[in-house]
Amino acid sequence: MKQQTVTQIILTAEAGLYLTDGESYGKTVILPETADVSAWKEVCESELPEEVENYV
Amino acid sequence: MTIALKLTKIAEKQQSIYDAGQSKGYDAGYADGQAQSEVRYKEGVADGAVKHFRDHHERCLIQQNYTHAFAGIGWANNSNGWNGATYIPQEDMVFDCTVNSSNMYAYSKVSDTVVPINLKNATGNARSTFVNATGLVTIRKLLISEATPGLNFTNCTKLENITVDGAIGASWNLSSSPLTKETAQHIIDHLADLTGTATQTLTLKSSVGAALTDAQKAAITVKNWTLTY
Repeated sequence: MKQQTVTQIILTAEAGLYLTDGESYGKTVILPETADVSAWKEVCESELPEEVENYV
Repeated sequence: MTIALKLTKIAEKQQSIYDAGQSKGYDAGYADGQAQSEVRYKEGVADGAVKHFRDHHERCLIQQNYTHAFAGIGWANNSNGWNGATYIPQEDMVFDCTVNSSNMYAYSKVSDTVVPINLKNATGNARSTFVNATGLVTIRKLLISEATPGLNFTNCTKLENITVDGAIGASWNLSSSPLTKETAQHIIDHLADLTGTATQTLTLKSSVGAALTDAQKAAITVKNWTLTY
């Protein structure tokens, strides 16, 4: 039998806000134990990038 | 009629037969107009799709450059390119996107990639291979390696099914895609183990991420991946 203990860090954005590390965005972020939590911050919806990237 | 004249007439006739056959081949969907073509497309969509593929046959299959290949606006802004075409390649082949695959399916109405797409040796431009692929429902087979750049599936609002062959080694953004539960599990199964290296991020559509079980979430983070939704 293989037994693992997985430690996670779960970040949840406050209402109306999103979490981002500058590249990824979401309401919920689940990080591995060793990840740098300080890389993530809350931003307003207005700060989200355009969903549709430039088509060139 | 002299023999020489007869031979000339026969040669002319042969050429006209050949031309007619080639033209028929185009209409039937053979990319090069001949039976030896590597790919044949569904009859009835030859109006723009086949011509577009025929015109860029060399660029795709030989030069391995698929940028905008199936985009709503194809090369040279050819709006009669692949857009609106349902294509069904008949032969076993692979789209080898080693050189370029940026915007390969952008705003395309193609719903199924059908043949394998090889990004194993792709460079950075592969990141936008599926950006704005608003028509795609199924990516039949995606050949990747841990060295393949991260992929951005932004605005793939219909994408439900992805089959991966290889390990995912860099961030994937699937924030717009209503993946099936089977595909979500399939992707989790193919995340590379990044233990001891920098974490990468798997971004899922909120409804897809919220539906994951605790065990699935643990399977992601135990491999040093970050999950966002």
